[in-house]
Amino acid sequence: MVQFKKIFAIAAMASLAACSSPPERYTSSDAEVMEDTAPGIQGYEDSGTEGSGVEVLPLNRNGQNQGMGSAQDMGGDPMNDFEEAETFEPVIYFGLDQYELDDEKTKVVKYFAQEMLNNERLTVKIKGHTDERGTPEYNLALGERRAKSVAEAMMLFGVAESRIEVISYGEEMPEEAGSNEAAWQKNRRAELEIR
Amino acid sequence: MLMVMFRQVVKPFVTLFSQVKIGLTLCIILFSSPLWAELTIEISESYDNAIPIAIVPFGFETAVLPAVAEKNPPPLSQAQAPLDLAQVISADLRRSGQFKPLLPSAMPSQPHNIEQVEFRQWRPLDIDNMLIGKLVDQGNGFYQVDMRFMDVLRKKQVLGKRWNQVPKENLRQIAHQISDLIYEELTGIRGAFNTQIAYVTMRKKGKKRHYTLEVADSDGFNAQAILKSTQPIMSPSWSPDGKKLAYVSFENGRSEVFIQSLDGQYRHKVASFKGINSAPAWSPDGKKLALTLSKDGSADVYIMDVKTRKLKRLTKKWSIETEAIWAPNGKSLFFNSDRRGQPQVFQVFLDTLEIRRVSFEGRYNANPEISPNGRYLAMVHGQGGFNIGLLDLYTDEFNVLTDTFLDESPSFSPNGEMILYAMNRNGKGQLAVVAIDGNTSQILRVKDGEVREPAWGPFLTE
Repeated sequence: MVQFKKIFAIAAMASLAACSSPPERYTSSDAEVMEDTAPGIQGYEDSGTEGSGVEVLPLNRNGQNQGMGSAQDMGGDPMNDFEEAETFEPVIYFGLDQYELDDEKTKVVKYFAQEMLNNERLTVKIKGHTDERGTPEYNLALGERRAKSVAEAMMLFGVAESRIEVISYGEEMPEEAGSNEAAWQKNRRAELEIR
Repeated sequence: MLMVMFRQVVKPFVTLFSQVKIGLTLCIILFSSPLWAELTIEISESYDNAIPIAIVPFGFETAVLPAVAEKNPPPLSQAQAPLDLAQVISADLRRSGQFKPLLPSAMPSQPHNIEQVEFRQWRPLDIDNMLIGKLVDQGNGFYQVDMRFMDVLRKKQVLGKRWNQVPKENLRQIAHQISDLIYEELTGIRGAFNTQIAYVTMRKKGKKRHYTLEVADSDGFNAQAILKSTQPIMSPSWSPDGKKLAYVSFENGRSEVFIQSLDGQYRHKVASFKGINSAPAWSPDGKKLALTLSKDGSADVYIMDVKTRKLKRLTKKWSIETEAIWAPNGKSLFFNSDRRGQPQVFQVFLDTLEIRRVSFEGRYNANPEISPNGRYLAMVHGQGGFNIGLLDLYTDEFNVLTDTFLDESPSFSPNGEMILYAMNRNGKGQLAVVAIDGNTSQILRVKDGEVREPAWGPFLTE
């Protein structure tokens, strides 16, 4: 892996060199603008692209962080054995503009909270999503509201805050493409990624 | 008088590789200029009383002396010209909805010099104004462009301009500049053809999504990718000088705000707080950035000093406050808040922090955008569907401008005449442009993907 990184670094430099003749029309006034970033200011992290302007691009690890995949991968087949305890898919669906948990949704959260309480090593990522209607930036905040209401319920059931991560994707990652009520229903959701 | 004036081409020149923490593919494209996604334009409506105008195809000549040749070189034809400038100019003017350019085939003659113009030929065609010009090959890929704009009634030239040593790849910009000159001459309003737009495209390859942040000319040509990612990209916002874009990228698994210079000199992550980091909007002086952060609880509007990265919290409320934009005088901001249950537009004054509600029509009004002169507020208006509404802040008159589906992300042209926005047609995200009086509209689409989150860039001053 380290060797690969080196190779990438060399390749990156080579490609830089290959197109390093700066266009003469630019040099004038760009440098002065905001060159001085102030690292160390609270909450700010260096993006890693300033300075030399070149960074190594790690190999893409396919599929990681690509969301939950489809829900069918999870859980068994709840239909054929009534004796088994009720199981749930790790997704909670919401009504239009809704973010509060009713009893049904709370039951799902409780189920996964119990799983986390049973295994102290598990952590959960709660990903909030919305449908495509409404503005993208408002929806980003609405997706966070959904994820947070799940997170808060989990904490009420005893899961430590430190084991919970809340992420909003807003309307950016629909589970189902399509501009109809059926698709929208599937997209207004909070996904639980427990690992 | 000879003039050389061409706009700086946004042509980044280095490849930056960005270190990303969790191994997602991300690559800032900053070399060459592949056409990632030519936007094609479809004009759906134009004014009934559009003004007839003649944009005569330009002559094409060479100033290069035949090197060793004793024989005369064959005369150059327009077909050999590197660009049909008249065609670009005609398309610009037609797109404004206000002009009806005469088809070249309907022209009685195609003069390139003033002496060749026979004004009496054009009067019966209702042509009051005509453009003639020529393109001269100056060798080594450089060209001279000569334009004359004529008043047919008064039989005289009203505008004349010559550009020298224009690189081939800048000819299109010269054409847009000519369109701007004509537009201003005839309407009194500064033209906005020689400007750029930014937008995000999304293509699906199997289950994977590929996002690209692109910058193109206002007519959709010269599209260049400045950022590619497998994770969402949102909310591009132009700095007032047109040299930088602030935007939201999910490349590290969640929303973070970046500032990237278009020449590829730098890229900074400026907001990566706990929670959401979104909705960047530059102050008119380019020194501050309004942002939406939820680090202290619910989504609220903050102002960041771009140089020092110091933050000031502007709203403090349990509800969602987001999508802030600055009034052109920099003294107040408009933003979206759902403190009354549903999103509505509010205004906050920076000196007193006094907040007032601005939108009252309908149950959902979000994503405000202010016109450059401060008079109009465009917003996403939800009343059953979602459309672009326009509030006249002087008269409080409110109009719904669009009738497309799922309209969002309105953005004014820098002359305030048009609004670029995103909509959905046939299940695909596309861009559209509508005049602020609602009377003309166009659709811009990419061939093989979706396009959204448009932002019209500022005038580029030299």
